[in-house]
Amino acid sequence: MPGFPNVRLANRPLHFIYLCDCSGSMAAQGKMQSLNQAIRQSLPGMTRVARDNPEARVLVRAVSFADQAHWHIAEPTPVEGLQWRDLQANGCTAMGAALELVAEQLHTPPMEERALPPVLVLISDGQPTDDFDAGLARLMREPWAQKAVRLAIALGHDADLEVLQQFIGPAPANQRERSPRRPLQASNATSLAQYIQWASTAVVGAASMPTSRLGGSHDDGNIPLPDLPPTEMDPMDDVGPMVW
Amino acid sequence: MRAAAGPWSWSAPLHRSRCGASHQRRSVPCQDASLSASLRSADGLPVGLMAVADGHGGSRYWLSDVGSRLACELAIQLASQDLARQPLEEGRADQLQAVQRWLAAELPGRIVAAWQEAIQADWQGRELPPQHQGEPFSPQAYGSTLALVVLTPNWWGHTGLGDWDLVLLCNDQPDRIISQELDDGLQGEATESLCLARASSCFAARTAVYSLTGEQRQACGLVLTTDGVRKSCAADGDHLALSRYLLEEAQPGQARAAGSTERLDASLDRISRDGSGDDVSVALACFGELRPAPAVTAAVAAAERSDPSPLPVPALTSSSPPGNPPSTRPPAGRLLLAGILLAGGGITALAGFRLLQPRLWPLSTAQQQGLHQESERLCRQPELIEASLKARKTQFRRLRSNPAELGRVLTQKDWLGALIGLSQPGGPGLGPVRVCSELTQALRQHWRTLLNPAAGTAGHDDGLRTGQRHPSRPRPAAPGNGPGGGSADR
Repeated sequence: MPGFPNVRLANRPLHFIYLCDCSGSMAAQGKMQSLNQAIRQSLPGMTRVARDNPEARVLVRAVSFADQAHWHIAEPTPVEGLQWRDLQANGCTAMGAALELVAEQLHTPPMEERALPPVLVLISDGQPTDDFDAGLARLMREPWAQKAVRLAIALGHDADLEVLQQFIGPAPANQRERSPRRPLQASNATSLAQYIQWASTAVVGAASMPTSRLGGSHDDGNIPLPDLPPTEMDPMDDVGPMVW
Repeated sequence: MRAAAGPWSWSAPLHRSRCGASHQRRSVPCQDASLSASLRSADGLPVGLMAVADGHGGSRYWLSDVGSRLACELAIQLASQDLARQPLEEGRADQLQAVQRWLAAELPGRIVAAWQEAIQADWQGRELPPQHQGEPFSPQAYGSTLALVVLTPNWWGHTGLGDWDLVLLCNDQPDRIISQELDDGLQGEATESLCLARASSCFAARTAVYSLTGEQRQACGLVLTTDGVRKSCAADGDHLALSRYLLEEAQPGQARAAGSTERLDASLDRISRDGSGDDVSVALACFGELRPAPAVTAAVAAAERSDPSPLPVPALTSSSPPGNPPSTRPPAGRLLLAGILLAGGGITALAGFRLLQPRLWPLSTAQQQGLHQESERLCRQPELIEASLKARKTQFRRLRSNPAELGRVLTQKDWLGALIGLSQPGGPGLGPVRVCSELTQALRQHWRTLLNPAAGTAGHDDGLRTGQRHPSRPRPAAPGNGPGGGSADR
């Protein structure tokens, strides 16, 4: 009787990529500081979720975009070993370039054939200043981008909800329905932190589970997304420390 | 590895399902199911059946463990009923064609209908837990994939839908994944499912029949798994090596003689624990004496690790060698005979399949002209053919799954779409349209790749033999020695 063969069994990588707007306007009203703090504070929760789902190997990366797009964390980094370095705000909003940068990495290889659908979180407070359409088209040519869970967080009133919606994909038919398949509007540091926490824990948990869904059904997006956190949507009603 | 009874017979199929590490941790029941059976055909030939099914899991599919169990039970039961009434002695090409159609259309229709009835009965008899009180019945709650493999001494075949994998292990050929779900148009972890309204039409793309007569009679092993196994492996080479190991582990003379599948269970548990965490199921069987071929497997695995391109297409085991289709149409007399034989056994697919196809010929003069022009355009620039067909990948699938689609593309004067639709296996055919050999070959190859990425379909009734389409003009009979047409070589 032969012994167990020398094959590579592996848990499935779950790539989680932040795309962070670092344009000059992010320096205003403490937005950049709030974003850095929200991501840093979310890491312990994300680590717990990763530990609870050992079948998924959560790997984090981040892109910053201002005048140009750069990998802020270029290596897919296991969340338990991640140390967040603060992003700095300065320049324009090269969102299209950021999408192209991510597209290059969502190709197989370097993407693993057996990876779970990646999670892409786009965070912005303004409008793209470069060719967003070309960047999005380039991104969406990659099958892994099409399979990805694409979320967007709009900081304040000036964020371009239309381009963020294009990044996410078609919005749910019910206009009144609160849905993660629409841009999540963070009106202050508290709601931003809640959304970042939700994306890095609840969404990562859902994306880690070995479940299937029906072909041809787009009701849930690419994975069944968990409920949104109970955050006030209307900034006028918000009780956070500062309204953006 | 050797079959249990005689050098050219199948071992009794073996199946196992194990709850995945992730489900064990959450105290979620195993949503996979598997089943196998052995029976005799009407003329006394041994027949084996094996099935695996993967319930989708997740809160929306909260009864998918029941759905997968029912899927396996009904598939085995309905296939057994048909096969027990059916003489299988000959294994001729025309019989294989009829089997192909039974597996692609007739049997799936009955399985899906029976499954829907069974889940509805289960729902009505079920006391709903508090969190589901007041919930209306939905087939989605029971969503599951299904794979079925039929094993006879003269042929074997498979059908099903969803993200299962079938590995073929042969002497003298590289081990390979012979059937897998194409992910065209499927997003994320999406899969085809029995709970879809179009479920029965999804089976055709995962159906193939392989002859085991004449030159095609070779020792082989089959390893059918739910997606949890393949997704636990870093690459397909690892999956192939693992498949061979599982088959060896389940040797009839060892594990089952001891009345135990403990080692196989332990291996499946390890695969889930060290891999995807998903439920894992396997069903396997062996034909003839399969030699261990570690060198070939290792070579394939090593090659794949450096180059993720698809594995070679099989050359010897399909009912007709791919790339070398028969030059003659199967004689009408044989088709009729096979139809009568199969209808007598409850398999009416041959006639039924024809009825499903739109009766298009004769097309209007304008339509024929459009088709001619499109054909000429491509044949003048053969370098465009491949790219043009590649761009129509989704249309191939739509044309296959929806018979009405062909009428639609003709109405819209999408002549390339019409050429594709007319040329599909079992379709209306290209009639008098002049098609160059490059286009003929390319259409045939694309259909073959779609219907089974690694195999040719039985009989190659692929509508590509222009001028041979009219049923009142049967071609001369081949003398019974074509691929799959010989008598059993015992």
